[in-house]
Amino acid sequence: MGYAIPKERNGMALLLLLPGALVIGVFLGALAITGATSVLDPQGDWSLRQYARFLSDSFYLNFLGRSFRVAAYCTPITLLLGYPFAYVMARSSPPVRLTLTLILVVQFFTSYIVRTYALILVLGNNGIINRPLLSLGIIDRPIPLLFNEVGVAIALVLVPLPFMIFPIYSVLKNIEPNLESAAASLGASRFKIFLYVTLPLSLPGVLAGVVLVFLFDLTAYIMPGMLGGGYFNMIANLIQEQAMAVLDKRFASAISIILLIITLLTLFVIHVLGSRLRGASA
Amino acid sequence: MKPILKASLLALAISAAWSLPVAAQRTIVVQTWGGAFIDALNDVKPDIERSTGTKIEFVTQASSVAGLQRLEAQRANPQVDLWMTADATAATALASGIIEPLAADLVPNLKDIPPALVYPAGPTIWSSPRGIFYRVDKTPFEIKSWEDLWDPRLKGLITTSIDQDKGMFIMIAALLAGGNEKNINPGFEKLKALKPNLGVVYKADAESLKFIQAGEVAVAGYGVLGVVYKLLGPGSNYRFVMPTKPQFMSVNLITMVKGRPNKAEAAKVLNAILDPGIQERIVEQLGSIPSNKNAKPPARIRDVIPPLGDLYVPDWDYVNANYGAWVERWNREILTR
Repeated sequence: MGYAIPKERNGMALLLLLPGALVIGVFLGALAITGATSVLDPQGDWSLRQYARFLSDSFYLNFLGRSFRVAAYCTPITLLLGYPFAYVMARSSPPVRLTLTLILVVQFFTSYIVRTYALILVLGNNGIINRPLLSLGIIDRPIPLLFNEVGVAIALVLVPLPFMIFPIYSVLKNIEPNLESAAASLGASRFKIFLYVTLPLSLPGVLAGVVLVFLFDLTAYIMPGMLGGGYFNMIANLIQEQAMAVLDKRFASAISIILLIITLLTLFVIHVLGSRLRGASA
Repeated sequence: MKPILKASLLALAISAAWSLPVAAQRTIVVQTWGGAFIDALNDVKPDIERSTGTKIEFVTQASSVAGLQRLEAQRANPQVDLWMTADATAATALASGIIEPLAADLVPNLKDIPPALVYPAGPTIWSSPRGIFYRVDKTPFEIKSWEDLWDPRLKGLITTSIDQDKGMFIMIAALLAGGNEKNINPGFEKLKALKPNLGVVYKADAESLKFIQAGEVAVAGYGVLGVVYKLLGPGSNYRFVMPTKPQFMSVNLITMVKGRPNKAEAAKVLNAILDPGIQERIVEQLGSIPSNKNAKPPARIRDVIPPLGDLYVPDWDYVNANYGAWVERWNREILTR
């Protein structure tokens, strides 16, 4: 039951809504301009030519397919890494929890670009993975971890990890401990407690994390741009290239709108699946 | 009126008044690149302001194309007086009416700029040599020409880009294969033969050096002298070579944006930037060649740059019209493994 704003305060409420409405209005306006740019030809007539150009060419569709594929397999991997971390954070003593939180938060003190360059030093032929393996004679040539899908995928798993951990952690720490105690008192093993009590209750956090990470990965630009080496560009790189290098704003706008539509459809599917999962576990 | 409403309106009024442009009629806004460029320009800014009696404000752009995008967005109400940009992008801007041809009578220093360096869009401020730079300790032989890039001993060791200079690297390949920008097919066939030697493609010129420093590649097949010039010198592991066939320099222009009120003051600032003393101080930091014939290039690059012969100047209008198609072919035919 929420707090209802008294009628005499409606004016104040509207005033407070104004800044947020302004920001949303700017974004929606930009979206409208993008949409209009994508369907107007140089003569000012309506045309879906740019959409047909993208959807009829397997070369362009490949960018979309590749972005989807990478997001689809990187997100579960991020979940598998992030959930245990979030669980330990939620169940730890305050000092340990604080330390783990700082480890996550400190990443945000540096920009994505700096962190991506750091990954070049880690994953490169002379990086801290290949160099010891070469020195020890375990491999006789470097494992190609950079300038390909592997390097991009590693980055898309590691970099958005905090976005998976924080939503799951915030839900886990609010789960009533008595529920787990009650299950234990009825003879459930720790595994069954996790499977039938903790995991279902943490699903809202899991879904939030999955959505955030999937969107991050699907629309990634810096990581494929730097770690793909030109050989693994994703859909955002294609949009940037068309807009900023080729100067074909109409085509770039059309690709952007297609990506937006497909992203919204995917979010809808995730939402429906998530609701069914939560319903099944209730 | 309720107190909180009064306070909000007062805050709004104060912030609006604060952001109003101060009587800026005598402040000239110059749009240029960040990093070393703006550092070099900030170094000479006090002297230019003193000699012209005009305040200068610099705004940065990520690239010439990004700068063009901003000026396009501001077309109805431009906020920039002078724009530094690459020659290819300047041609696009002039054709679309964003900048206006230079009024030569307002720029006395133009007389010391070689006519070949004065474009319809504006005069050259500096030229940046293009060539190949590489790590001598990581490369199996001394590189002297563009053709050396195709040597199989450089397998996987090269980084290059077609984002730099509107696909100049494709044009170089075409010229080597008997074509040019208007006959580009030989260039793409030549580049297909280069594929085994390509390790990574860079987007921004600074990346070319970073990839070499990280040990991923050893050769910047299309190298910008300004990126590596501070690492050159006796005992250095870096070498820059400017092949002579074809020989190419990227030219940066200064242009006047259309629709601004302070033309006379803008022309004074533009003229001051072309002053030989100012030019020498700027290019010392950038590793570029000044356009004023009375200004000397930095000592550090005088040994690196061969005598300038027949510099290749593409038909930029043709390049601009076809660059999109070249990018598409590059992605489809070259960036595949």
